[in-house]
Amino acid sequence: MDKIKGDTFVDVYLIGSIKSLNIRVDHRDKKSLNVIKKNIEVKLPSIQNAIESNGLTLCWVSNDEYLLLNQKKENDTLLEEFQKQMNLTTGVAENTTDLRVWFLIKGNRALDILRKGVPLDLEKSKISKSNFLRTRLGEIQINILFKSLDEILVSVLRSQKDYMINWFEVCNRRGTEINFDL
Amino acid sequence: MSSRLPQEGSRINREKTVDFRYNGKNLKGFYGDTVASALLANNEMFVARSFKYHRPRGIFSAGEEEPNALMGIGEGPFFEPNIRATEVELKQNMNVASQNHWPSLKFDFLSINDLFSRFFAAGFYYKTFMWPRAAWKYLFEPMIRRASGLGNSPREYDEEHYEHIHHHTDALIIGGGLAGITAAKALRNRGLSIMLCEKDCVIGGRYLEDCKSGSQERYKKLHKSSMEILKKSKDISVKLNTTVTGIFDHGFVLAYEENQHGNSATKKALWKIRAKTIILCTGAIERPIVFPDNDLPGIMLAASVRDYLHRYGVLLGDRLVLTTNNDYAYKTVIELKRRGIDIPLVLDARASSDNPIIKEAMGLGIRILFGKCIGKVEGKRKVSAIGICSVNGEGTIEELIPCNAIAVSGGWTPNVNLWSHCGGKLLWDGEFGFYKPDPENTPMGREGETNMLPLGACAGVFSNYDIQDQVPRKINQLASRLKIKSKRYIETNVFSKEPEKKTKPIFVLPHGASKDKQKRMFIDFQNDVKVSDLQLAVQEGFENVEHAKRYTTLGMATDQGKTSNINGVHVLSQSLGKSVDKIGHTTFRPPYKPIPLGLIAGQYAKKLFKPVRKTPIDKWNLLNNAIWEPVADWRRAYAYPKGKEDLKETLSREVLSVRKNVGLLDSSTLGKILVKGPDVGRFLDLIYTNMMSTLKVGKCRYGLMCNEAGFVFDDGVVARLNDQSFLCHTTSGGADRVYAWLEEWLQTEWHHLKVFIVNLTEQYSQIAVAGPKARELLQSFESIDLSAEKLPFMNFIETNIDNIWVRIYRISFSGELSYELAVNSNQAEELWNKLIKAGKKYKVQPYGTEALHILRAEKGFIVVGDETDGTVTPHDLGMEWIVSKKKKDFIGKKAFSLPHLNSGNRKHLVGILTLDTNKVLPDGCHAVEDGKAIGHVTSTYFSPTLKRSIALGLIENGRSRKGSTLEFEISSKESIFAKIVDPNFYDPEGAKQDG
Repeated sequence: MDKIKGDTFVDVYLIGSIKSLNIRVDHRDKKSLNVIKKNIEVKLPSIQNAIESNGLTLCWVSNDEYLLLNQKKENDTLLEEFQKQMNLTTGVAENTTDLRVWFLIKGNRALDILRKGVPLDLEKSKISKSNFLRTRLGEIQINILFKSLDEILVSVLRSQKDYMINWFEVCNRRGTEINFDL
Repeated sequence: MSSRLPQEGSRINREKTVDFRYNGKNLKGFYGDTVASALLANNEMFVARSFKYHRPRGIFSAGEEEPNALMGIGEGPFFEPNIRATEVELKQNMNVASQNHWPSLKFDFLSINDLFSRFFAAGFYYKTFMWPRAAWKYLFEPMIRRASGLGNSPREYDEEHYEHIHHHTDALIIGGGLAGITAAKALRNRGLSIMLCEKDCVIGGRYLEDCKSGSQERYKKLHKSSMEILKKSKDISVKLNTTVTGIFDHGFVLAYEENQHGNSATKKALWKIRAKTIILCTGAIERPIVFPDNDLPGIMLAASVRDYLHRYGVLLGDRLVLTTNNDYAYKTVIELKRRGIDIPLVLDARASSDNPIIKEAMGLGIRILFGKCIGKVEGKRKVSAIGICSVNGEGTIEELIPCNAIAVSGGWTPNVNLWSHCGGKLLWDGEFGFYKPDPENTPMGREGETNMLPLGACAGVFSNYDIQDQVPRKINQLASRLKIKSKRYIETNVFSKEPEKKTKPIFVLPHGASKDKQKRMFIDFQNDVKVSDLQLAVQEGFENVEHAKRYTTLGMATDQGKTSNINGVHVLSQSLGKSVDKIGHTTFRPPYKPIPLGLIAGQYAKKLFKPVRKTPIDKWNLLNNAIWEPVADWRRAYAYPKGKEDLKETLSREVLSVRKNVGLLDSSTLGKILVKGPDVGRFLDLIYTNMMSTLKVGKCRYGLMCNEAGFVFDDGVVARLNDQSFLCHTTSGGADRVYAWLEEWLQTEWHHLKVFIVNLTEQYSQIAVAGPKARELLQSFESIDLSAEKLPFMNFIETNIDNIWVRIYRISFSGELSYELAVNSNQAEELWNKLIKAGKKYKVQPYGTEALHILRAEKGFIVVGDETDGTVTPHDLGMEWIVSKKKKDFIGKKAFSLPHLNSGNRKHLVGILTLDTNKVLPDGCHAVEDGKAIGHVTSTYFSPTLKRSIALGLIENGRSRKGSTLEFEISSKESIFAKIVDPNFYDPEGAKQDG
């Protein structure tokens, strides 16, 4: 992980790609759902949430779309098998590892930096661990995965990697924290 | 003269001196001073020239309502014009400059305007400069342009740090005065998130000033305990120095944070607040009484005089006269008198007042004259004396009183701008003479519910007792309305019920002022609008308040008429003989106060101005001298100049390398959309004009999409990956649009089809390897057999190149033997480098988008967006062959039978060859026949292959014109003649694409 340099109030790291599959499935299609449950051994996440198990994180993207992240190398074979099985069903599991780049934001002001670009309600009381949000940051689309309130994963399209690094450099300058006065 | 007292000043630190420059002079202030207080402390009373007449003007207020003291502040990249000196904190080495004068503030050449002011009445510009006609262009307009405008635009790039911040809150309290503080206390502990925005650097508002006057121990105790509660309450967030500048639909609020009070932060932030409920506690603004010569330096609003005294220990003058129509203004002279300041006179326009404050003032020896007002002010650049007259006469001077300052108070106007921004209506209160929020016509929230509650002075409630009495009650009612289950909030009222401080709504004095006096009675200081101007507007038929505003410019400047609107409406009502409530008021619009343009841009400037998308090969392109072309949001390599080549030479080299050897193109930006499912063939047959369901696995087919109107929408190669999966390629700019288009049709019209779509545009990068030596180059990697038998045209295979997985398509956009290599994006740069290295032997050259366009134009291939413009059908393009006659239905099919898409005079795609082979037609230039435009050029290049200019164009009935010569108009004086030909200029048989 490369730390984005500068005099900053949170730590931001460029992770790069995380092995991932985009899964599209009809919720009425039991065969596809069984493939997911059987292989990944996790429940399906609820709206705007992710479920993590054994280094695999299944994120709810929309009513018929999930994003499966694999942060353990040893799961690669499992993923390949899963992809094959899934593609024999009506649903789709497609490797999208190279499609996104991921950043990790660490620190107790991690939410604050996102509030400079994300229009959603990111008050601490409204966010919990394992929330997964697909939203926009300024003019670009981002995904946000809350590992905790102090540790947040953010992904953007790989073509927007440099733009996102610039964004962090501009918005993560010490002296530009979001402060309340009393 | 204005000066600083040896002590006092709650906001300044006398131990910290601040040096600053004002109009080239070195001056000193204290830490905590505003620019205005520091200037007054240095006896700089004359600080501005008025906009129109260039009259001398002084500081008139202590806040955002300031109409006169607009300054250019800062230097170089931090310079900002038109900043209110009353709102900016003084900083070390700050550079401050007055505006609107030449050559200097004191000796302003354009002050000659004042001498001729009788000729510059309202509407002057509309009636003058008509003759002689030629003078407008050469004399009048240049002269007016030079004189117009206020302040100088910054010359350098703005280096200030601006940001946008999003915030959500259950309740937003705007204003931190007594009403705002009480509301915050009453709302806490109810499970709500509460945000309080205060425009000042401290909480308290005018009530804070009351705490400081005299021995108001109870006030101080209340304030201290309130501050402790606000600090301790976790559900309350307070933002100081934050002005709410606009309220929009559904509780969307914009607030401007100006961080300037010595924090390490140097930001200016635009807060984008989504509030469920808004509590409006914006207070009120003191308004002046209009009297003759009321704009001279040394005249200030009475409460502001007191603010400068309390906050900065600054005196406006040491011999001050008060002119008023209300009791509250007496506080100012009482406090000044108690500090030993000479108060020779108070002129009270009312007949009498029985409020005890009058007796208190008299007890201090202050002379009070009821029924009197100011009939004239003497002084050239600042006040030196006033003439007293009767309020009812025409202004005959009865007595001349020497003085060097005038405090003026015409009562208070509730600050209702924000209430009005999103639809709140106003009611006229004739007793006090102001507009206040109409509780029956409130702004609405997202559910159509009332989402704004005005409290305190902005609702027309001024006494501290009444505010502390009413606010908890109203907040409890609000909680009940919002169904918030919590205890009722009760607060003991620490204020005693005082005799009501009365205001008589008097706006312009003397009542019978002569015409001559009316021409010196200013209503709007910023725009130099006088009583006589409004009267003239009415006389000339501009009777509606909005018309009069535009004719006279009343209330149109940066202060948005904060001190002038009510007085202006009164003059209109007098002139029209109608009551004020029949006149109405002008529209309040955001922003409440001016905000920098940089703030609107926020952080999205410079590198963040546009989210430029870069391909995985971008770094290589950059290192290899690429020049760029924006394609949608992508930046693509346009060309790769070498050495001293000019662009023409570069393009020639790149094109010829593809024609003779081999070239590499970074075509990663092409859209790649995976469409999968049991019904995929059926779905794609509906989307494309040609048949896709019959495509065999391992094969590719060029496809065209039309919209419902039959016009070309996008195109690209479709590859069948397996029985149920197709990879659809789109144009670079069209990927997201096509993806959304497919989803829309699938989710609305054809939701019964079992098909899923995944946008894989960035998962795969693509590299085109094109040219007669392309096969040799690729086969130089041991593992690949790309013979025509193994990989025929419009087929693809999946293989490895040096252990890198690739999908190789045998397709061509150049007419040459060509392969497009799809690779996982993380390995694209590595593959590109391998190809460059291996290609040296074959004289490989990277080529950019311009060479690509030349190559495809030589072949007559279309580009969606060049040859199409949303009105072009496949038939117009000569692509009937791609429109299926077998399919029962597809998007656009029905439109093809419409008469206007089959008429004989539609424009057809044709090739164009100029008679002079070296003359390249300008892109978009028109073909003209009998003086009528009959078409235009869509693509035009100098072809290095053919060594002549070539072009494509859409020409009316073009196919039947082949062989004829047409005139292409370059300008009104020049035309180029060209022959209409078939659009395929190079290798029409297609022999080259097989190598």
